[in-house]
Amino acid sequence: MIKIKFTVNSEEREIVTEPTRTLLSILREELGLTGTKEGCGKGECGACTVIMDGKPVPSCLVLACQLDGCEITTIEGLSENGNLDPLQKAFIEEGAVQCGFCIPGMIMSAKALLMRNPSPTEDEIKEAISGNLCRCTGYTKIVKAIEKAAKMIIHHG
Amino acid sequence: MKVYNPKNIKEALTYLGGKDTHILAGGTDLIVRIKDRDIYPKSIVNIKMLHLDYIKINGDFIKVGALTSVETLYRSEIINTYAPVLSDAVGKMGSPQIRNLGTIGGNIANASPAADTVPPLFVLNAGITLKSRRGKRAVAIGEFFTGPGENIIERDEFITEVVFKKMESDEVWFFKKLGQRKALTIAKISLAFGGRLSGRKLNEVSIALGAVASTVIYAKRTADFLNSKRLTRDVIDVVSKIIQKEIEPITDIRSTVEYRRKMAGALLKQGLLDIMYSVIARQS
Ligand SMILES: Cc1cc2nc3c(=O)[nH]c(=O)nc-3n(C[C@H](O)[C@H](O)[C@H](O)COP(=O)(O)OP(=O)(O)OC[C@H]3O[C@@H](n4cnc5c(N)ncnc54)[C@H](O)[C@@H]3O)c2cc1C
Ligand code: FES
Ligand code: FES
Repeated sequence: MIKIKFTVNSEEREIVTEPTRTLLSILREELGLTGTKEGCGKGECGACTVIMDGKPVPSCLVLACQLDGCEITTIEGLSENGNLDPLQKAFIEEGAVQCGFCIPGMIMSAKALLMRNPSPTEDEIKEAISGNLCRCTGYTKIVKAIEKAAKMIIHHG
Repeated sequence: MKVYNPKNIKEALTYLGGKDTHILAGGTDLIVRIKDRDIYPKSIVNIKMLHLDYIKINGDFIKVGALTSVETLYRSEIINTYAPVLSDAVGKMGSPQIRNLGTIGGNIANASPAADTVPPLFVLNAGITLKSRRGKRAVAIGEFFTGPGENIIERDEFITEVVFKKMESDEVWFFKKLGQRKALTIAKISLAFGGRLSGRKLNEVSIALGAVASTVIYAKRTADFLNSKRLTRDVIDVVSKIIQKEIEPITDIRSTVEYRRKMAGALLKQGLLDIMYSVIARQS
């Protein structure tokens, strides 16, 4: 067992756990943050994407022993004081969600993109979500929603 | 499973040497293999804290720390300017998520014949620096691999650095990769090309192919044929046949011998035609 100290959604956390436990399992089973989904468990589908130190990563391939001192943001960390993030609003408004299983990961990839590049091109958006599989939507509305969110952020800060 | 989290290289080296001891860098290969029950490590040495994440210019050379992520390479101005053939290849790897975790050291050590950083590193004639308690040694990338998943790293060693010469302005290059789809795809075949061009004449040609043999390989005969040749349509047609004769690909789940042979010719032809046309455009 090891003790790790890290930040999840701006909150300091200290947990004692197996060093080989995945971040995904810590988030869902230890911290009750079940917004992050497990699809393939092998880095292929992107359903488990979270932001680690500013970058999107598959939480199914990050181990506890790699977490000390890291800053993690999950889908639960996006809304502020009950207000949804522009990405969340745009996904709802554009009808970009069907079954919803891929959406938390999709939004975290999009969030990491907008943090780095506030006005991405369509190609840059497609590149940013190229590691996120969606079995339902066909992606068109997802890309539209991300474009819309980028505009919302630029216009309203 | 015991996990060590060394704080410096010296400490890390004290944990290496055991039979079922594995190094953990980004984990994108290792963790998948553990989950697939392909390996059962007794201990893991997590090298994240070793400060091996850097890209430096040192005179005519570029030094890349083993723990530098694929995404850092992709976004690096230094790599983009002085090793564009590597820059292009890392842009075609995995997904953004995988690129953020995956490291150059892990891609090399994993020794997949389809590893995307490797053909460009062949063309750059990179040196791999290995450290152990016994000392330090450097091995040319062309002598590093011995089979699929196999390399010359001893149990008590690990990769600390990758070193290669800056590419110069008279050097031409390309990297081509074919897979099932654009993102998240393991190469069915990949080809990296480098050489010097004066006017339309090629020299110091180097060609490396991924996923056509048990390791990444040089296409030496094909490269020799191109040396001191003027780039013309005829030369390009001939050389795209020579490469098909030189390689001995295999059929596997991803592709067939016939496809790989044909595509080796096609990729080389496409790349060389692009170079020829851009020279012609510049000259007129
Ligand atoms: C979904 C997915 C898509 C992928 N797509 C691609 C792709 O398009 N192209 C491609 O080339 N690869 C791809 N990969 C494979 C993998 O991401 C890369 O090979 C990556 O660069 C491995 O680096 P890592 O740091 O994650 O390695 P790890 O998993 O940490 O290590 C890999 C192996 O190397 C050893 N090792 C690691 N670092 C060192 C070191 N410094 N010295 C000695 N041994 C070391 C480990 O013990 C292990 O055996 C993909 C993987 C996944 C899961
Ligand atoms: S569950 Fe992590 S990438 Fe699929
Ligand atoms: S909405 Fe169902 S997988 Fe994307």
